[in-house]
Amino acid sequence: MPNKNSSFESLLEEIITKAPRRIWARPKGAAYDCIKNLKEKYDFAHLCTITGLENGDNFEILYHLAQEGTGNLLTLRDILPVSAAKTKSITDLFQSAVWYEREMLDLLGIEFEGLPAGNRYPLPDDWPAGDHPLRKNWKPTEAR
Amino acid sequence: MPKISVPLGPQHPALKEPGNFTLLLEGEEIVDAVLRLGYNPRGIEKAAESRNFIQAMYLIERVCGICSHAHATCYVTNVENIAGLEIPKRAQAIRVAVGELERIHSHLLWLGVAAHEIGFDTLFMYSWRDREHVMDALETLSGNRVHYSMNAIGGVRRDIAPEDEKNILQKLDLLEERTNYYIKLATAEPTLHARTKGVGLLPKEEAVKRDACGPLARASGVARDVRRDDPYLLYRQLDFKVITSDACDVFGRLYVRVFEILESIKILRQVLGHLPEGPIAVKAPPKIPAGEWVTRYEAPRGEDIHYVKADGGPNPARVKVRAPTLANFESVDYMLKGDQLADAPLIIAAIDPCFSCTDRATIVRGGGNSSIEMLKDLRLRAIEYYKKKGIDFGKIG
Repeated sequence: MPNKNSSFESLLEEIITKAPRRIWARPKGAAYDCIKNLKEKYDFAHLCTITGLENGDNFEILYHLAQEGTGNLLTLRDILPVSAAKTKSITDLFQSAVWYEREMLDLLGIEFEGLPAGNRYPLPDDWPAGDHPLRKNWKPTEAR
Repeated sequence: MPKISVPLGPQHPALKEPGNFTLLLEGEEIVDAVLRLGYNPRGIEKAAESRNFIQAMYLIERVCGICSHAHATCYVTNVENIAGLEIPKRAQAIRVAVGELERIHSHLLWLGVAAHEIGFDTLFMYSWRDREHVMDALETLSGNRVHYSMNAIGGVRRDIAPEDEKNILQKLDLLEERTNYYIKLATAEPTLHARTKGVGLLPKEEAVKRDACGPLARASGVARDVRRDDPYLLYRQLDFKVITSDACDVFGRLYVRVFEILESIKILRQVLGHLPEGPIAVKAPPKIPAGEWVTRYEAPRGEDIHYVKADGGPNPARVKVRAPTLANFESVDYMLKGDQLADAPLIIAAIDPCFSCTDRATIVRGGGNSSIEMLKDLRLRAIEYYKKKGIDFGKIG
């Protein structure tokens, strides 16, 4: 087992350690490959959640990964342009990601390649396509 | 034998909140289960973006009616870290005390619900009666039974008076005695064993694979506890055990939760009566600077994680809430498969699901005008509404 504390940093760039056990970084290369390596080689085996957010012309996907044994919480930031909001699903690495990816698909409209078919979450089945409530320009309409 | 599909929920007497489980049955055996969540949408994450940091704290507290302190503390810790505030030791101790009382009340509540699903209503009434002592303690500390609103940005809102500490410590003696009785019951009562042992199996490797958290993970032998793994507040200095069980079934989940009550009592005895001297809050800056933070908190149901982004404006730019139940739902379909239909409510209840926490994210189309109406006027409107449909309730009393 490689050194748990530092050598995983070779997979990352723009690393910021804001406090003990709180690491923020961007992946070198594709986020999917980076997460796969982090999980398999460095024991970042627990996906806490995935945050999706809109920042100007980009979507940011923050993968919050916890390392077993050290308490390290790595937030891996993947940036996608709003105009091409499509990325690879990590559900084959982390089964629980299915809820978080479906949530981002519904609320922000980010598409995940390889996301298994199933019930949508969390919006109702008759919610209009292309209407994503967590987008910054989305406003609730009057009650009917 | 033909397979039959049975919908359980969203409205079902066995579920305390709405969720839909489509169960595929072969005889009495569940061969497949498909989940549909999202029946309890309130749009809290979106709503938080249109409120200032203090208003959002009270809003986030309302994500859940049981682990409200967990959510509020998790959120406020993010805001304090963004603002660079270090909160006083006394405030940290008070947050721990409320958090552990909340854990006891939540576990006793669960014990009652699980007993009710088993059909053991005497235990349900006993445990909810004992839960009242914890609720009284929380009311003494905060003035409220459900949403304690103890947090403020920079510390806590209320101090604990020495006589209240003494009063709560006395209640803990009683609770400890009752918890020991439940432990005796759980280990000796044959009906409890018959309904819980071997039911809803979740082996350790499945729990890890499905990112289970909290008592569900610990009952499958996965010793994950944020209080120990990634300590916050005063937990690094406190002495407590992470309770685990290798039973991997509903019995294990029962075992873990009742023993966790004892650990919470142990933590409370280290905090109450030994509160650090000093102020209960530091002054929060009028403006929260730009920044982002992520916090993990061990809520009664497992790991709660919040992310907050500030852009220097009056409102948070993004608040993300992941309640523990959402992580644990990934294990439910596995646990249901191979079990009997009659055990489905118990298996679902055994993760201590909180659908409201889980479904916090969406927006119901609405908003617009609000008004206050008298019951009398509402009644008249209802009479008019039904009259148009050909039913005249006006004639009845």
